[in-house]
Amino acid sequence: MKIDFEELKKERKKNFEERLWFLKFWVRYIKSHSDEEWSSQQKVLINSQLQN
Amino acid sequence: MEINLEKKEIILNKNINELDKFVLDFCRNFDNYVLVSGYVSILFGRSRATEDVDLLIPKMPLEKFKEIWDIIKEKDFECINTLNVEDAFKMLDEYAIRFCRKGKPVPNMEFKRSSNEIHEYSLKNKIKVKIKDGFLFISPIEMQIAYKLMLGKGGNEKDLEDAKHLYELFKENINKEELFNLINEFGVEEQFEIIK
Repeated sequence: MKIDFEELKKERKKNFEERLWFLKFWVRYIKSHSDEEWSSQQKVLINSQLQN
Repeated sequence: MEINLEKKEIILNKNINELDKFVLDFCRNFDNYVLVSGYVSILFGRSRATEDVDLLIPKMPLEKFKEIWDIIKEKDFECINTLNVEDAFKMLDEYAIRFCRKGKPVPNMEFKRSSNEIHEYSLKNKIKVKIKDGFLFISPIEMQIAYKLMLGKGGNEKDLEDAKHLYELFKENINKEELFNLINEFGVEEQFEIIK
């Protein structure tokens, strides 16, 4: 298999930028919704991760 | 969320998850501590979990540590590193020691004794976060952002993301001058450019 490391590096950078974009989106959600609302979603994620 | 950083207080009406519950159950046994690093971002909504939560305590003599050790044990927590309180106290000179609920290594509390000026700053300027089932003390947000940027210097994207989460959430409330001072001291201007 021939691995193109330059391509993978670009992909990683793009992926990081996309995650930063999502972070900003999620913080906007937190700021515009009640604590109960956003934390209920976070609770599902965290509880499932801790149970696995 | 009600943020009053001048009063060093945040009121958070969040729906408590299993990780928050673990941290609350552990921390309610102490009066002087500060939570640092990844859990601070998670407490304020970061969409990830963690296997360990970092906690700083001030320097203390063995007798005081023994009191804390006994209380923690009574509340069904155990130290993963050793069962001997004096060994644990000695380990704190160089390492963090970990506590978990008996028989359940994850999540665990990484228990560290203050050993430098960054730690002292965090303990001195701690923020009280009131949540439904109690309260927690966290390191100042400005320090958390700068410290996470410093950890992200080595290329750890998770740390940069934690810094960005806190910066986006608190940018209207934090002391910008203090943040820029800390960014300057840690030499993380480049990392700040990435996340701001």
